[in-house]
Amino acid sequence: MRRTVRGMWLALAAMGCGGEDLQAPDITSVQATRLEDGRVSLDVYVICAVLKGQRPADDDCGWPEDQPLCVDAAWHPAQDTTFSAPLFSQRTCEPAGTRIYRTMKVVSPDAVPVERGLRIRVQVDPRTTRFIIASP
Amino acid sequence: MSPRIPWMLTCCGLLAACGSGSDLVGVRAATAVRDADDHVTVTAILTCVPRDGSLGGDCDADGEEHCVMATWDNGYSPSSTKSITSGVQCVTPPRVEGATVVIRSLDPVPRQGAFTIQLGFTPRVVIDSP
Repeated sequence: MRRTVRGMWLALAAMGCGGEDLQAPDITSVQATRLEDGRVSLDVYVICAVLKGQRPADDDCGWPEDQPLCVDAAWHPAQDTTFSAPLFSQRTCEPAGTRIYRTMKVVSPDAVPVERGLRIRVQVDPRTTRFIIASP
Repeated sequence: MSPRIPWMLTCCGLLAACGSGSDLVGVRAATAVRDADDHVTVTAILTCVPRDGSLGGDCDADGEEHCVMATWDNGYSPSSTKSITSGVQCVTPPRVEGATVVIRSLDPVPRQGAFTIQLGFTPRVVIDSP
Protein backbone atom coordinates (compact mmCIF):
# COMPACT_ATOMS: atom_id res chain seq x y z
CA MET A 1 0.00 0.00 0.00
CA ARG A 2 2.81 2.42 0.96
CA ARG A 3 4.55 1.67 -2.31
CA THR A 4 1.30 2.32 -4.20
CA VAL A 5 0.88 5.73 -2.53
CA ARG A 6 4.47 6.70 -3.28
CA GLY A 7 4.00 5.60 -6.89
CA MET A 8 0.88 7.73 -7.19
CA TRP A 9 2.66 10.83 -5.86
CA LEU A 10 5.45 10.30 -8.35
CA ALA A 11 2.93 9.89 -11.17
CA LEU A 12 1.14 13.09 -10.12
CA ALA A 13 4.42 14.97 -9.91
CA ALA A 14 5.22 13.80 -13.42
CA MET A 15 1.84 15.15 -14.54
CA GLY A 16 2.76 18.57 -13.24
CA CYS A 17 0.70 18.42 -10.08
CA GLY A 18 3.40 19.46 -7.70
CA GLY A 19 3.30 23.12 -8.70
CA GLU A 20 2.11 26.29 -7.06
CA ASP A 21 0.01 26.39 -3.92
CA LEU A 22 -3.65 27.25 -4.11
CA GLN A 23 -5.83 28.54 -1.28
CA ALA A 24 -9.24 30.16 -1.31
CA PRO A 25 -11.97 31.30 1.08
CA ASP A 26 -14.27 28.45 2.07
CA ILE A 27 -17.38 27.82 4.17
CA THR A 28 -17.57 25.35 7.03
CA SER A 29 -21.08 25.95 8.31
CA VAL A 30 -24.32 27.74 7.52
CA GLN A 31 -27.03 28.35 10.11
CA ALA A 32 -30.40 29.50 8.81
CA THR A 33 -32.96 31.28 10.99
CA ARG A 34 -36.43 32.54 10.10
CA LEU A 35 -36.94 36.07 11.38
CA GLU A 36 -40.23 37.40 12.79
CA ASP A 37 -40.93 39.32 9.59
CA GLY A 38 -40.58 36.18 7.45
CA ARG A 39 -37.14 36.92 6.08
CA VAL A 40 -34.43 34.27 6.46
CA SER A 41 -31.09 35.10 8.02
CA LEU A 42 -27.97 33.04 7.34
CA ASP A 43 -24.88 32.94 9.53
CA VAL A 44 -22.02 31.79 7.32
CA TYR A 45 -18.67 30.83 8.84
CA VAL A 46 -15.78 31.58 6.47
CA ILE A 47 -12.32 30.01 6.68
CA CYS A 48 -9.37 29.62 4.35
CA ALA A 49 -9.03 26.27 2.56
CA VAL A 50 -5.79 24.93 1.16
CA LEU A 51 -6.81 23.42 -2.16
CA LYS A 52 -3.30 22.51 -3.17
CA GLY A 53 0.07 22.72 -1.46
CA GLN A 54 1.26 23.15 2.08
CA ARG A 55 -0.84 23.80 5.16
CA PRO A 56 -1.46 25.90 7.15
CA ALA A 57 -3.37 28.46 5.17
CA ASP A 58 -2.47 32.12 5.36
CA ASP A 59 -4.57 34.41 7.53
CA ASP A 60 -5.44 36.52 4.51
CA CYS A 61 -5.85 33.44 2.28
CA GLY A 62 -3.88 35.23 -0.42
CA TRP A 63 -6.93 37.45 -0.88
CA PRO A 64 -6.16 41.07 -1.82
CA GLU A 65 -6.91 43.31 1.15
CA ASP A 66 -8.75 45.81 -1.03
CA GLN A 67 -10.93 43.19 -2.75
CA PRO A 68 -14.31 42.66 -1.08
CA LEU A 69 -15.21 39.26 0.32
CA CYS A 70 -18.72 38.25 -0.75
CA VAL A 71 -21.14 35.49 0.23
CA ASP A 72 -23.85 34.55 -2.27
CA ALA A 73 -27.08 32.87 -1.26
CA ALA A 74 -29.79 31.74 -3.68
CA TRP A 75 -33.19 30.20 -2.94
CA HIS A 76 -34.23 27.38 -5.30
CA PRO A 77 -37.62 25.63 -5.56
CA ALA A 78 -37.77 21.84 -5.26
CA GLN A 79 -38.32 21.34 -8.98
CA ASP A 80 -35.13 23.25 -9.87
CA THR A 81 -32.95 20.15 -9.65
CA THR A 82 -30.13 21.71 -11.69
CA PHE A 83 -30.02 24.81 -9.45
CA SER A 84 -30.14 27.02 -12.51
CA ALA A 85 -33.24 29.13 -11.79
CA PRO A 86 -33.30 30.67 -8.30
CA LEU A 87 -36.45 32.33 -7.04
CA PHE A 88 -34.27 35.12 -5.66
CA SER A 89 -30.77 35.62 -4.40
CA GLN A 90 -28.82 37.86 -2.08
CA ARG A 91 -25.16 38.84 -1.89
CA THR A 92 -23.41 40.26 1.15
CA CYS A 93 -19.95 41.79 0.83
CA GLU A 94 -17.53 43.30 3.29
CA PRO A 95 -13.93 44.48 3.19
CA ALA A 96 -11.60 41.49 3.21
CA GLY A 97 -8.98 43.05 5.45
CA THR A 98 -5.98 40.99 6.50
CA ARG A 99 -7.79 38.03 8.08
CA ILE A 100 -10.33 35.97 6.13
CA TYR A 101 -11.73 33.97 9.08
CA ARG A 102 -15.08 35.40 10.16
CA THR A 103 -18.85 34.93 10.38
CA MET A 104 -20.82 36.71 7.68
CA LYS A 105 -24.55 37.34 7.74
CA VAL A 106 -26.81 37.18 4.70
CA VAL A 107 -30.48 38.16 5.02
CA SER A 108 -33.03 37.44 2.29
CA PRO A 109 -34.29 40.64 0.63
CA ASP A 110 -37.94 39.80 1.36
CA ALA A 111 -40.06 37.33 3.30
CA VAL A 112 -39.37 33.77 2.19
CA PRO A 113 -42.37 31.51 1.58
CA VAL A 114 -42.64 28.47 3.83
CA GLU A 115 -42.52 25.99 1.01
CA ARG A 116 -41.71 22.33 1.16
CA GLY A 117 -38.53 21.57 -0.75
CA LEU A 118 -37.25 25.15 -0.93
CA ARG A 119 -33.45 25.03 -0.70
CA ILE A 120 -30.74 27.61 -0.18
CA ARG A 121 -27.40 27.36 -1.94
CA VAL A 122 -24.58 29.32 -0.28
CA GLN A 123 -21.03 29.93 -1.46
CA VAL A 124 -18.17 32.34 -0.83
CA ASP A 125 -15.84 31.34 -3.67
CA PRO A 126 -16.64 29.33 -6.82
CA ARG A 127 -13.63 27.07 -6.17
CA THR A 128 -14.67 25.85 -2.75
CA THR A 129 -17.67 24.50 -0.87
CA ARG A 130 -21.29 25.22 -1.76
CA PHE A 131 -23.68 24.43 1.05
CA ILE A 132 -27.19 23.38 0.08
CA ILE A 133 -29.61 23.45 3.00
CA ALA A 134 -33.37 23.42 3.50
CA SER A 135 -34.90 26.87 3.88
CA PRO A 136 -36.55 27.19 7.31
CA MET B 1 -15.64 3.78 8.39
CA SER B 2 -14.01 1.59 5.82
CA PRO B 3 -10.20 1.97 5.80
CA ARG B 4 -10.48 2.49 2.07
CA ILE B 5 -12.49 5.73 2.37
CA PRO B 6 -9.59 8.10 3.28
CA TRP B 7 -7.52 6.59 0.51
CA MET B 8 -10.35 6.99 -2.02
CA LEU B 9 -10.94 10.57 -0.83
CA THR B 10 -7.28 11.43 -1.32
CA CYS B 11 -7.24 9.82 -4.73
CA CYS B 12 -10.39 11.62 -5.96
CA GLY B 13 -9.28 14.92 -4.49
CA LEU B 14 -5.94 14.75 -6.21
CA LEU B 15 -7.51 13.77 -9.49
CA ALA B 16 -9.94 16.66 -9.22
CA ALA B 17 -7.14 19.09 -8.48
CA CYS B 18 -4.76 17.88 -11.14
CA GLY B 19 -6.80 16.31 -13.87
CA SER B 20 -7.74 19.23 -16.04
CA GLY B 21 -4.91 21.63 -16.73
CA SER B 22 -5.52 25.14 -15.44
CA ASP B 23 -9.18 24.60 -14.58
CA LEU B 24 -10.70 22.88 -11.58
CA VAL B 25 -13.38 20.23 -12.05
CA GLY B 26 -15.78 19.64 -9.19
CA VAL B 27 -19.42 19.61 -8.18
CA ARG B 28 -21.65 22.69 -8.28
CA ALA B 29 -24.97 21.25 -7.08
CA ALA B 30 -26.54 17.98 -6.01
CA THR B 31 -29.81 16.37 -5.01
CA ALA B 32 -30.34 13.17 -3.06
CA VAL B 33 -33.14 10.63 -2.62
CA ARG B 34 -33.56 7.74 -0.21
CA ASP B 35 -34.08 4.42 -1.96
CA ALA B 36 -36.51 1.73 -0.85
CA ASP B 37 -33.63 -0.31 0.61
CA ASP B 38 -32.38 2.73 2.63
CA HIS B 39 -29.36 3.34 0.47
CA VAL B 40 -29.20 6.95 -0.75
CA THR B 41 -28.69 7.95 -4.37
CA VAL B 42 -27.14 11.33 -5.18
CA THR B 43 -27.21 13.14 -8.50
CA ALA B 44 -24.26 15.52 -8.72
CA ILE B 45 -23.79 18.19 -11.38
CA LEU B 46 -20.22 18.81 -12.51
CA THR B 47 -18.75 22.23 -13.03
CA CYS B 48 -15.54 23.72 -14.33
CA VAL B 49 -13.95 26.68 -12.55
CA PRO B 50 -10.79 28.56 -13.53
CA ARG B 51 -8.00 28.20 -10.98
CA ASP B 52 -8.10 31.94 -10.25
CA GLY B 53 -11.79 31.78 -9.34
CA SER B 54 -12.99 33.86 -12.28
CA LEU B 55 -16.11 33.00 -14.24
CA GLY B 56 -16.40 30.62 -17.15
CA GLY B 57 -14.07 27.67 -17.05
CA ASP B 58 -13.21 25.86 -20.24
CA CYS B 59 -13.15 22.15 -19.54
CA ASP B 60 -13.75 20.38 -22.79
CA ALA B 61 -13.67 16.80 -21.70
CA ASP B 62 -11.84 15.36 -24.70
CA GLY B 63 -12.49 11.86 -23.52
CA GLU B 64 -11.18 12.60 -20.04
CA GLU B 65 -12.64 10.66 -17.15
CA HIS B 66 -13.87 12.50 -14.06
CA CYS B 67 -14.60 10.73 -10.79
CA VAL B 68 -16.76 12.04 -7.97
CA MET B 69 -16.53 10.73 -4.45
CA ALA B 70 -19.43 11.06 -2.03
CA THR B 71 -19.08 10.54 1.71
CA TRP B 72 -21.88 10.39 4.26
CA ASP B 73 -20.72 12.08 7.45
CA ASN B 74 -22.11 12.78 10.90
CA GLY B 75 -21.97 16.54 10.54
CA TYR B 76 -19.55 18.85 8.78
CA SER B 77 -16.30 19.62 10.49
CA PRO B 78 -13.04 18.93 8.70
CA SER B 79 -11.34 17.94 11.96
CA SER B 80 -13.95 15.78 13.66
CA THR B 81 -16.16 14.34 10.94
CA LYS B 82 -16.78 10.61 10.90
CA SER B 83 -17.85 9.00 7.64
CA ILE B 84 -20.37 6.18 7.79
CA THR B 85 -20.38 5.20 4.15
CA SER B 86 -19.34 6.43 0.75
CA GLY B 87 -19.75 5.96 -2.97
CA VAL B 88 -17.84 6.85 -6.08
CA GLN B 89 -18.71 7.09 -9.73
CA CYS B 90 -16.71 8.06 -12.79
CA VAL B 91 -17.97 9.51 -16.05
CA THR B 92 -16.48 10.55 -19.36
CA PRO B 93 -18.80 13.32 -20.48
CA PRO B 94 -18.70 15.05 -23.85
CA ARG B 95 -18.80 18.33 -21.91
CA VAL B 96 -17.92 18.78 -18.24
CA GLU B 97 -20.09 21.77 -17.32
CA GLY B 98 -23.54 20.52 -16.40
CA ALA B 99 -22.71 16.82 -16.77
CA THR B 100 -24.44 14.64 -14.19
CA VAL B 101 -22.96 11.87 -12.07
CA VAL B 102 -25.19 9.44 -10.17
CA ILE B 103 -23.70 7.94 -7.01
CA ARG B 104 -25.31 5.41 -4.70
CA SER B 105 -24.14 4.84 -1.13
CA LEU B 106 -22.32 1.56 -0.60
CA ASP B 107 -24.29 0.94 2.60
CA PRO B 108 -27.74 1.81 3.93
CA VAL B 109 -27.90 5.25 5.58
CA PRO B 110 -29.61 5.23 9.01
CA ARG B 111 -32.93 7.08 9.13
CA GLN B 112 -32.14 8.32 12.63
CA GLY B 113 -29.51 11.02 12.93
CA ALA B 114 -28.43 14.00 10.87
CA PHE B 115 -26.01 13.10 8.12
CA THR B 116 -24.47 15.29 5.50
CA ILE B 117 -23.16 14.27 2.11
CA GLN B 118 -19.91 15.77 0.81
CA LEU B 119 -19.37 15.58 -2.92
CA GLY B 120 -16.33 16.42 -5.00
CA PHE B 121 -13.38 18.54 -3.97
CA THR B 122 -12.77 21.76 -5.93
CA PRO B 123 -15.48 22.85 -5.81
CA ARG B 124 -17.28 20.69 -3.30
CA VAL B 125 -20.95 20.50 -2.36
CA VAL B 126 -22.35 19.72 1.08
CA ILE B 127 -26.02 18.69 1.33
CA ASP B 128 -28.18 17.13 4.01
CA SER B 129 -28.75 13.43 3.47
CA PRO B 130 -32.41 12.34 3.24
